Amino acid sequence: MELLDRRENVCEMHAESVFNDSSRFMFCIDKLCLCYGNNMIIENVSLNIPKNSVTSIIGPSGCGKTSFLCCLNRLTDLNESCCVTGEVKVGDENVYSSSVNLTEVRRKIGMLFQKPNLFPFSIWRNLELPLKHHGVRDKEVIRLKIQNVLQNVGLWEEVESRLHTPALSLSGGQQQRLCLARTLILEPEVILMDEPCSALDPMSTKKIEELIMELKGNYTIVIVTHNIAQAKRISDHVAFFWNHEGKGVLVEQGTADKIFNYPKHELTAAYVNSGA
Amino acid sequence: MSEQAVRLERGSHYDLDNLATFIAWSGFIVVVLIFVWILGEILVNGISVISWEFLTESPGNAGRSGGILPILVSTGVIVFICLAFALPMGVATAVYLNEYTLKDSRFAKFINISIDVLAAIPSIIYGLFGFVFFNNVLGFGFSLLSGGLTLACMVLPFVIRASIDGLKAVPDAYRESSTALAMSKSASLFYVIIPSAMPGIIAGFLLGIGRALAETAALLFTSGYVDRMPSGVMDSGRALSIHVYDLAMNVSGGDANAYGSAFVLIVVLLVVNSMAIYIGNKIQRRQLR
Repeated sequence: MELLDRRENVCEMHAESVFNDSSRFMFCIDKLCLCYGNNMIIENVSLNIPKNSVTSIIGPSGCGKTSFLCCLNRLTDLNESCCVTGEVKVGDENVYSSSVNLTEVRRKIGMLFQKPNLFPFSIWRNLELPLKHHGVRDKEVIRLKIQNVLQNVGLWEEVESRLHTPALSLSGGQQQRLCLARTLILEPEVILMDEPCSALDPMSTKKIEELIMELKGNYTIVIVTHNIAQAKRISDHVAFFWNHEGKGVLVEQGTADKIFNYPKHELTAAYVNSGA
Repeated sequence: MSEQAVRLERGSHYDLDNLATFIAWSGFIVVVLIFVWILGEILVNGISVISWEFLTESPGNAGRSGGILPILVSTGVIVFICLAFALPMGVATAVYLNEYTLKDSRFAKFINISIDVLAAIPSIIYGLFGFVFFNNVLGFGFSLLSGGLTLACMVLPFVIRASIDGLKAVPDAYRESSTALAMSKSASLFYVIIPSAMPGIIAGFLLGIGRALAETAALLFTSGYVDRMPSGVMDSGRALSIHVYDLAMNVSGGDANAYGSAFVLIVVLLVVNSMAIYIGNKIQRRQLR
């Protein structure tokens, strides 16, 4: 308990130092709580996520990392028993305000899931469907956009000749890159990634990590990962979550260098060193 | 364990294996034999009656002679009316129950129990209901419309149940990813969820057609059994299954044409099933382009 009380000071210090410059941040999250029915999953998380950088969310299983990620694009709405309080600001807009244009918010915030979750359609149809839904009808524009995103994720040469074959016939790594292409085709500003490499082999993982490094100049990336070595390789910023009496709490946040080399909290130190 | 004990134990495993294989194969063979027997009997006795005239002429002498054209037309109209109401309503109810209501809400539970109860009601009761409601209360009289609507009520629970099973088989990951792609719930349903649930929906359609084509009791009370060519949906007409029943049970010397009609009924069922599977595959394949 004492250990966790100290996290307040660690997080407050950080919040004070960064709150003055809100334009640097893509997300400003304030006192976020998430409940499923009567169970509180995340308690009082305040965190600012800088633009055009990679922020890793790390922590043990069951500490609410994925639930936290789902709060950022209101994917929590899919669960009727879910209740969120607090504020998640993207720019000046609170994602949880009643007047928010949810379609626009979700278009701005793309998401990549733990397992590749392509639709059971062709590669082409998987990429065309979201575009058409968002009003892109010109066939030539669609073709160019599809080619462009497939080139961006390094998949064009591999699938060029079989764009109309089932997407589910691709390998796991290719499927995950296609999911990334599907996310990028809507030109989001943010990409949320929920353990995107956990179901992939080391070679595919390396490709995804290389893509993350390429993309971070143009996108804000928030990634949940269990792999501390991966977090060290790709992160600019890190937020460390912990499970305290069944509730997910934010223990410490900061630059990757500070969290991995000079953690202020004992729990953070113990966790990051356990993966060394 | 001694070598002999091991051998004995293995021996008993082999005996059990052999027994299980025997039971499984016996079950399989019995089912196939019954199917072949029924089909063979209808084929052998019915094929001699089948001719172009049989399919294109009206029945004569209470069905002992002539053909079955009006019966085929009436059957087609009744099944079409039945599916035109039951399919959209069934799929819509399934979508509502699976996608819009809380799974454990009282309302959803009530509807689910109602569907199971409706599925268990004997068809004769549906016939009486159709007779009272469609024939008398709504004033449709003995008509193809009454018959089709009564059958629609009867097959609805099967269509709903099969469609719900199809929708349940669609992984939640599709719902999550379409939501994350900023697709509206209706777009996600029409472009992702329902096309993915197509096998279940087709199963519902096939079940519906199968039951509608095979039904006699419910139609006796509602669409009637006059064997003339119907002049419209408000006219009375005889369905193929009623024709088979009537020739086999009430008309002496009508056995040959009863077999012929049963043969046509089975062929129609096979053709419609094949068409439904073909169209379903085509819809799914179109998504692959």
